[in-house]
Amino acid sequence: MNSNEPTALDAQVDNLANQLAAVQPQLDDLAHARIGAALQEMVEAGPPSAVPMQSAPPAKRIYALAFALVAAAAVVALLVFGASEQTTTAPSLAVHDNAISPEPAPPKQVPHLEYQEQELADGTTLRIHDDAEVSVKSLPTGQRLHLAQGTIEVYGSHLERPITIVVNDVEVSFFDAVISASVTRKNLVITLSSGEFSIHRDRNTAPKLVSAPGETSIPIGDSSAKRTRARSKKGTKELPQEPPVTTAKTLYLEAEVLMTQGRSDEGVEKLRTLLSMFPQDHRVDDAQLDIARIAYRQNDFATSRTFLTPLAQRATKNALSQSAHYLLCRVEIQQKALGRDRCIKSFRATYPASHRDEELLRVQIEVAHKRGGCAAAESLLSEFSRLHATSANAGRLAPHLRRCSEPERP
Amino acid sequence: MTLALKKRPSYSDAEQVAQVLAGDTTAFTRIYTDHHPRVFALLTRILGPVPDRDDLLQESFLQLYHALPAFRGDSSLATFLYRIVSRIAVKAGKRKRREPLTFDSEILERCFGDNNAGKDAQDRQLLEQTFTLLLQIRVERRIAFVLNAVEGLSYQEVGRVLDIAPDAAKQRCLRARRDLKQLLEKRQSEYRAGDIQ
Repeated sequence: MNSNEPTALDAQVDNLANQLAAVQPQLDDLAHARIGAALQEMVEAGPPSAVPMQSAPPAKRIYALAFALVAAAAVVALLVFGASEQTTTAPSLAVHDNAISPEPAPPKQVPHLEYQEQELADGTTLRIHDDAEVSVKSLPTGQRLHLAQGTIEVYGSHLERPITIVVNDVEVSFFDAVISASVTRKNLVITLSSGEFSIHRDRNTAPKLVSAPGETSIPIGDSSAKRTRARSKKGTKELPQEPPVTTAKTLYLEAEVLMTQGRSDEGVEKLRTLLSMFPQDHRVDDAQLDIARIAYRQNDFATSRTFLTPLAQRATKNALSQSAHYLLCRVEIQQKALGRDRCIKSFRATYPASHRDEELLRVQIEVAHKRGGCAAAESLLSEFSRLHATSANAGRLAPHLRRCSEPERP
Repeated sequence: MTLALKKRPSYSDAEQVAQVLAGDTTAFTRIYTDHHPRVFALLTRILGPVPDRDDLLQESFLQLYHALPAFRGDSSLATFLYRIVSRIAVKAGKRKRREPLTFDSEILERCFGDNNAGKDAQDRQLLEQTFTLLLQIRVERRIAFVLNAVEGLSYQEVGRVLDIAPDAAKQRCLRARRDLKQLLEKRQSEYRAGDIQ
């Protein structure tokens, strides 16, 4: 047999490719809304800055160059500090992940200044002082700035994902703040100009929220002391612990941080605490919706329904009750429950101008078509044609249209 | 019965990018609306039905936005976007190599899109097996395979997306096929052995 002749295994590989081609995943509507909001905010912040890229060398060479620079910096750091982890020498910025541009510009020669400024992927401004040693890691859960020494200043405003400054075992996170962070031998000193931040030490300790402008000194662990070989035998002097003050706001913000970090279960725990401790707080509805959303994502539809039903049925209709009603319908759809049609009808009647109308009407058409064929779906299809003919979902109805357009066979 | 589906005004890639750079806030929304289903599908095909695909999708469009000034129009906007998505997928794929392979039945069901009504447990199981095989091969090869065999890109286009020569792209695609064939063969022999026992 000719070796180039397709074998049965080749056919199976082609079959795999065909199966993958049939994969047409649907983006979860909540994620769709979240991404849409994030992009909208980014776009409204102004157009991307036009950097001339015509002469930019190919990305391969750039990465090779960047890798060489980072490697050289790491070697220097090892020689100078005896550091065991990869760091960059001051003042420097190593972006480990998620370069912004697919064709990044070559690293510029930065003149010797007291500080240098960098704009991070989410638009945050990072000012690195001359004495700072910092590396930046961009993750889907947010930007992490590993500060080994010196001072940095960060200006973040209304961020979708948190900025986290990491110094040894201490993590300082914020979404909206102007802060300066300095590492001394024993402490991380955070100076807050505006906004608020939370301090995390380990997973077993509750995060502490700081919203008062001013200076906060946080004792740090031993690793920097080890590196400088100047560790005192007495160890670091702990500041007296302030008794944690639990408010609905702190609980909600802590839950938000935890959920952004992917620690949903811990976030839900905080939200449930909020519900039990502050049942009259105005954040209760948001907390219930958040719990329901997480439960929905975890396929815990019963819990989701429990929290959504009262929100959806409330007399005062607002964006929150609309979201709850919509999610309730999604729960019914996911469970293929008998109530899905009723839920969709009720949602569409209550919120006729909702942007979700199109999607729910499409589901309604599909359900009607499946149950009663073209005759049952006809009026709904006409309604879709009238209301949403130019929408993105219009194409998805094509199979139903084709079937309903064909003349009926005797 | 027929439906008259109205068409939106169509803009070329260069026009759309120019509109974004000129500060037209709706232009980028249009780009997102046009391209996100393909990007989401591509991420799913490369990485499997993992729950953080929406984060990666968002990251892709965030990076695209900031990279738009670098768009020269040498290739289509889709190719330009695929380059970004591929890089993000490579990093995510390498990170996920250390994570156990699990499939969420609900997410798997949503992989069939809206026409999942006719899909049953057997279809889902088949898709799960496909992903189980695919996710065992190296992510760089996997991307080349998906772009070529599933998305229908030529070796030259795959090379352009992955920033490698067409020959290297071809090599990656063929290696991916070889890896898949070996895995299929192994699975068949294990299956036969199980049958005999």
